[in-house]
Amino acid sequence: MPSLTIESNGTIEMTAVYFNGQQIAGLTELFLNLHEDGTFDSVLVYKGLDGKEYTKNPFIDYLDSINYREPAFSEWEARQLKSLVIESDGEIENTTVYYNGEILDGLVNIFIHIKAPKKNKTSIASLFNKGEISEGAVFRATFTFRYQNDVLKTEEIF
Amino acid sequence: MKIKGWLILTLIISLLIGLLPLDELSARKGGKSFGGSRGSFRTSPKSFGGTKSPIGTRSYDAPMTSPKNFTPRSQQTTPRSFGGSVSSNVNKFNLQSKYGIPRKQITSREMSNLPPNVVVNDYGNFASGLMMGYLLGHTSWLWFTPFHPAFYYSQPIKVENPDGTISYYPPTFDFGKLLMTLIVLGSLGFILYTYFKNKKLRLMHRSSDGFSKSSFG
Repeated sequence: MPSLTIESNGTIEMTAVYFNGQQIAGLTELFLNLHEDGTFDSVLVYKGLDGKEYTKNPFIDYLDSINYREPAFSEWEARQLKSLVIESDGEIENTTVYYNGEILDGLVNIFIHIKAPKKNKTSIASLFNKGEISEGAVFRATFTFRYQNDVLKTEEIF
Repeated sequence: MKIKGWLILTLIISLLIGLLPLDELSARKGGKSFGGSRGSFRTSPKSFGGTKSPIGTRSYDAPMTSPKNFTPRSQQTTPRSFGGSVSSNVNKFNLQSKYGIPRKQITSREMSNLPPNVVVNDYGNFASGLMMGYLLGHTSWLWFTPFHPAFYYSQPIKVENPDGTISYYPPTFDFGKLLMTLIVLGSLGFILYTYFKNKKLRLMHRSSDGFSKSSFG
């Protein structure tokens, strides 16, 4: 069963995505919306080794020309990050979620949307930019649990 | 943002062009009063060919830069002998009252390479030294850069007297040019400072992990 792991501290710069244990490079966007009602939206947008952009469902599709890299974070760094592992075959019934190594239960929804910022184009004005992350970056990651008495609570994942 | 960048660049270029001493440079080419051969003293001394100029008028080269109270003859209403104003004399007296009594009046007797009808009013100050440099052609390219005080002075003031003699007065300090230079140099300094400061920030941003470890980007 495919496994998608996200390690992060809540910033895009410190976010690593692993597919079956291998760190992916060249990711543009990751979108996950898993709901107990059967919703299973999973989209991975990445730039392949051939330079083309691919949009795939990592739990169902074959990831053509995907670019893997050596693990970037050291063991010590990885311990500072939070880890979310999703094992699934693309069906919500067959989906297991681990958070920092522990299986989660009572999950209602997982919503993750991480989008890399657009790269700055070279222009005269860009010479005077401070190099801050430009517009277009998105980082949203929440999960919703059902507590006793049907109380729903949404928390930040990272 | 791109338009903003081009606007900044256009502003700098136009300011730099505005600062170029084009009039001085052009005057330097053909307007040198002294030095060189005699024939080059006046630009259009042709006696033959062309049309006859009206009787009583004299060719007159307006000074490159005029003081406040000096009006070139070309702007005067009538060149008649009677009526009107004797502007040259007035100007001469105005200039004399402005400059005071010269320490020395240099003529062709004191300096052999001066034309006989020229009187140079030497006040013994820095501007007088510049005037002699201009008149004798002893200038340097540095004079036309903001790093030399001569850049901030006008050309020597030339006054044609009614008796046919030409008086030269020392150049005057141009505060407008100084202000413009300060503005341009200040702007350039500010732009360079901003560029290098932001370059440092960009490098810091990249080196402080940036996206080097991320799967994104």
